[in-house]
Amino acid sequence: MLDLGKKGFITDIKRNSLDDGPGIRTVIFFKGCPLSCIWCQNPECMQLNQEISYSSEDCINCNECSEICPEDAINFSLNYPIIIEKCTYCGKCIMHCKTKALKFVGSFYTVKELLDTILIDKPFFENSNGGITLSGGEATYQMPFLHLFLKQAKSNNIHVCLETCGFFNKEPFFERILPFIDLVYFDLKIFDEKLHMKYCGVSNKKIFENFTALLDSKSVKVLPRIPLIPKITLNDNNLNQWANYLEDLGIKKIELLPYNPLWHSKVNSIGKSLQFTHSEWLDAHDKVRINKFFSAFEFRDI
Amino acid sequence: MPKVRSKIANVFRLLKKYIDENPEFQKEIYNQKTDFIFNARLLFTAEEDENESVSIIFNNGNIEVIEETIENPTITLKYKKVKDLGKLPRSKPEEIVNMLLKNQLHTIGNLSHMTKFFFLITYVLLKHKDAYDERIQKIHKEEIIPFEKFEDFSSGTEHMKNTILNYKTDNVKYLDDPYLGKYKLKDFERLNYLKYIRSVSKLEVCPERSKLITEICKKDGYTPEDGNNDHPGLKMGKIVNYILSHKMPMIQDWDYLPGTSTTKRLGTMIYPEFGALFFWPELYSIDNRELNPHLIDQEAIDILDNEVFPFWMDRNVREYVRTKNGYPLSQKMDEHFVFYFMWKTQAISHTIPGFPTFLKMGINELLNEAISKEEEFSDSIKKDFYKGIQLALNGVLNYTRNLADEAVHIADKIEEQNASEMLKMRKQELLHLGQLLLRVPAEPPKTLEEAIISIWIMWIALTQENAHMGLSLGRLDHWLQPYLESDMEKISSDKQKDEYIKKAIELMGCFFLRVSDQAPLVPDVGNYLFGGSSQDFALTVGGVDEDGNNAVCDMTFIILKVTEMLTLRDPNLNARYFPGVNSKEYLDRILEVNINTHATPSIHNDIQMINALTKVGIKLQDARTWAATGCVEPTICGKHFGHTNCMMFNTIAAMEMTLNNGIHPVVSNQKRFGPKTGEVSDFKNNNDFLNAFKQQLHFMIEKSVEYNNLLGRAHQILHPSPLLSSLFDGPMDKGIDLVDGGAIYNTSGVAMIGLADIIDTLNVVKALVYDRKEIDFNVFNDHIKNNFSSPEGELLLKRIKSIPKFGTDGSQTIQLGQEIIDYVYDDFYSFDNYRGGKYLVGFWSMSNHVAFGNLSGALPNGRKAYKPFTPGLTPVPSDRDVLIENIRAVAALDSEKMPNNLAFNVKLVPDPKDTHEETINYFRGYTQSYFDLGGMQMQFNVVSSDTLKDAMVQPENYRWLMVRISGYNAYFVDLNKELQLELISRTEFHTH
Repeated sequence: MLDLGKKGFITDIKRNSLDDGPGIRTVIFFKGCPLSCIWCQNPECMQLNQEISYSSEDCINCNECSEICPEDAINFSLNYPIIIEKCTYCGKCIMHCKTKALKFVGSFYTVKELLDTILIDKPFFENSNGGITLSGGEATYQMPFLHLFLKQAKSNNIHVCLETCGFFNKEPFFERILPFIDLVYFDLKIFDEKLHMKYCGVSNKKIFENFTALLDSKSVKVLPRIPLIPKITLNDNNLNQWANYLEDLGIKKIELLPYNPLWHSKVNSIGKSLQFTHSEWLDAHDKVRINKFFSAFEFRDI
Repeated sequence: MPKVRSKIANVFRLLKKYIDENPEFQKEIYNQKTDFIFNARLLFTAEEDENESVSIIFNNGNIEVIEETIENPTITLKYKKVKDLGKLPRSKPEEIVNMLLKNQLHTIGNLSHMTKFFFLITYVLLKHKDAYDERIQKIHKEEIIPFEKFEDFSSGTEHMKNTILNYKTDNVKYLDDPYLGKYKLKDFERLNYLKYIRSVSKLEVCPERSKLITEICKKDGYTPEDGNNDHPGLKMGKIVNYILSHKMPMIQDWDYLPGTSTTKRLGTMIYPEFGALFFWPELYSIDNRELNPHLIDQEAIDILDNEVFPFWMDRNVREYVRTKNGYPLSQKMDEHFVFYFMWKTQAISHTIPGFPTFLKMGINELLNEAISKEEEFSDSIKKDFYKGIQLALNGVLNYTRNLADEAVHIADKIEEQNASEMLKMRKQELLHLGQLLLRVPAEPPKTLEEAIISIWIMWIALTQENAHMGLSLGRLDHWLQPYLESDMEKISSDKQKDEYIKKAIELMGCFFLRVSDQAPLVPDVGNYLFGGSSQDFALTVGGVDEDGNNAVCDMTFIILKVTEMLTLRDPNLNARYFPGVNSKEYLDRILEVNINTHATPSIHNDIQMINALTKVGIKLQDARTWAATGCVEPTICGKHFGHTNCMMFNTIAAMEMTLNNGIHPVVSNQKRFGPKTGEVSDFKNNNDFLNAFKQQLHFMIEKSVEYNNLLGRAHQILHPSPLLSSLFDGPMDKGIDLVDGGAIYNTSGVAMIGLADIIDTLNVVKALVYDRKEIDFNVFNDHIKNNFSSPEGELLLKRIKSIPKFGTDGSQTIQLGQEIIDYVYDDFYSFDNYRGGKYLVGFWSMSNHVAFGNLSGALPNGRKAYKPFTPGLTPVPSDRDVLIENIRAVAALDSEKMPNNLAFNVKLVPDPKDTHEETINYFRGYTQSYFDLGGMQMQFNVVSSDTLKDAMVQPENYRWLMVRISGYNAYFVDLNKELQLELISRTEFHTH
């Protein structure tokens, strides 16, 4: 079994990100999330267990993987060729793949490995007032590892931004994570508890508690972010509730995340089926409506 | 029965008939007035079938057509295929050139005979003159708005955003806002107007210089073979004196700087002693060609066709080398176009004069020095050298006097009583200039105005002496700052101070517009090889002084402002930045100018450059005074004759010969140029393959050096530069011209092209063929020869794609790259040039990554045949965001092994949603980090592919859209289609 205290399970590391906090940043995508939002744009980060991705575009149909598989778990007549029930994630097919069409989703890093991976970007952080951003998935879902990693990152003077769904255990978070964080991007999705349960799989009570506790602590800059998901979060009722709530809390600055339908292809590559099929970008009409609701706030153009 | 030859023979007979019957045509081959007789023996043949040969002989005005080969042809045109030979009668000159480039045709012998012959075809048979006459009738001169009625021409600058800096930085003494953020082009009426004049001026062929040099050389002879046994320097002194003394003194309306490069508003000078004869067949069509058309009038055509070109047919540098050296293999390789391109056939001038010495002494004192040196030496050769310098310098004085007279003459024409206030002011201005020219540049300048005018006049003179390509301006900020300071000392009030600063910007702006009042004459072939290039007059700002102190000053920021407001491709601005000594504010301003102009300046890390220069034997104090030459190459101003672009070297050609046992498949499937390094199946392991590649490289290096040295020796005999020599440390003391090794530093600079593709090629072969043994090299090579066109080839491309590339993986490709860089550095360094200096390598490409790419087959890294390589040292595009990985990879290469610099192009598009401050923050993040990691040079194209695509469709909306190719700037709409597409295909990174 994996010891997630000593190793972090990381889906991807994206350098040169300019959208996830100030300056030039390296984003660490943690694998696994306590929420299961049906529109999740990083579906490969949802599960904490191992997965294999398959790219039909890169595949040259040499069939060597299916011949080598000891479990007979590969069948190219399926859209996604791995038969998950049989697969033991031994990795033989991946080693044999000539074009890297088959890959493990994510890999395990020790604190030192992860640190080395991000420290090479330090000049870029320093020269642009950037740093690292913890994203996912949900970074706090791997709290023991995160704590150890952040201690090291901080001792190297790295600016850390946390993107969180807000669903974490308050006490250990405040004690072991928060002291190392410079900025929190706090996602606020669905105001109504029942709907939150329906679309995100959990109640939002804990999220509200954590949000207000974080604001009250005044120990870190918090930027609330609202994803604009057609029909689900992007309805008048929900937007109105958030706007009133945030205004009451005296919040001036927020961020709005427009829906990006390009995530659909990622779902197929890990053998999952789409639960949310909306494939349109926001239109001008949506934008006018959104701007109206949040006219009291400062936010970046959507 | 050969058919094609009789068809062509019939066409030739028709040519003969027309010429025999028409005295106008007869004059073309036998001209009693000019004493020109076209005697030539041209043989046309096909490699495929030698029976298909046909010849035409011109002999003392008689023409003979023979349907077979002849003995002793003066030029042979060898077509690969009979079919292509058959196209000859219908071929336009540009089609012939295209065939030459593609090696469907190659020549053996005197190229002037070919260009003259093709002129005859276009003139006599194709009747190009008739179409030309028709076009000329239709040209109506565009009405130019007079200054008095002119309003505004600042369009194209509206998008610019400016920061205000409220404190002085670096060594700025007077500018309260060093960024000069409040000024816009429309605040400068004169500059605004002169830029308007530039924009309505069409490029026009100016025959003046070529006419003058031909006149004097016809009289005195040019080569020793002509009977001119003067010391070459003395001969050139006489030539320069003659040109400058007879050059028309002109002052453009409302310009503050007297003198012009040509007699046209925007002109092209012609240097028939170098490559201009290539342009002969285009005389009647250059005004109508698709790319880069030039106006040309009948008078110019007649001068060039009758007087100029005939004289230089055997006397130009290329033909001189051919005759004198028995037509060596190294020259033949050059004329196949795929191995290397040798700039000495066109020019030798990639260097930077010592303007500080000139400004300090003035011409009179330089003359006195030359006179006393002449007396000091008893050696008659040295005496002649100093005489040559005196003649050349006196030529400059003669030209200046003529300009002074002209200023007064124009002023006199303005009648005080009836003139408007503006004209009255202009009259005063002209009289002032007339007075000023009586003092400078004879005497040392005392004010900024005098210093700029002195440099300008000397600049004109230098471009009359030797071809202007890549001659560069040096560190004008650093050199002009003392004059600005001394002017400022005399000013007390804030208002006067403000006015003076405006005046300084205006002067510098006039200088920029004047320096770019000319463009090179580019035969159509050049539009494909060097699309959109100007002369690449580089100008350098910033960095440190010789003691290592901060050299960023008021003039630095004034030049940056002018660069931004005018957005001209020339001068090509290069900014030196010494991290830790120069301020962050200065770097931010460089980046702001780059963002606003889309393409300039190019940015250099002083720490790396200075270090690289000291490693090749340049003293630290001297290394600190470097400036960019042509594109990006370093020259120690006034001490270093480094012909920094002596050749463009195609590393891919060595790879193609490695894959084909010494044969270059584009050139010929039979003729072996390179050594036999074995078939690919003979390579037992990766080392064998790598060694074979190095052997092919070595062969090409050896040949390129040989030809460069032969050309250099021809320049020594034919075309030294006494005027330029007088402005350098060394020649004056030693009595030795620059071209003979008179300078303190005497290197030659090479541009290595295609390195990123080479690294990836080596890595792919290593991985697939040797490490993983996934594919047999023979099979792989067949796919390459088939351009990956089979279904298996397509699958192979996918496998190649998954192999790490330079710029996307960690250490392995960097190591490979370093190994090749070290090898070519060492190999070139092991040779001496004809002046006793060393060869230094650099990694930038002008536009030759497209030109050479167009002539090269497919490569193991998956690059398809005839596609461009990447520019300079830029990694191959990737389908994910690898900007940081790219930066890290290029920075990791050892800059000490790139003493002739590199070009790292990054296309980076700001997010319109970002604030100006955020955008600059990102640009700084990349640039400063690249430098922190050891990077040496970087340049941004700040324009999106979408904009470029739109500019291809609607060029009229993008007249001034500037882009950076590899080291030089160009207007996008001037570029050939391949180059435009290459720019579009470059990876586009975004700051969002």
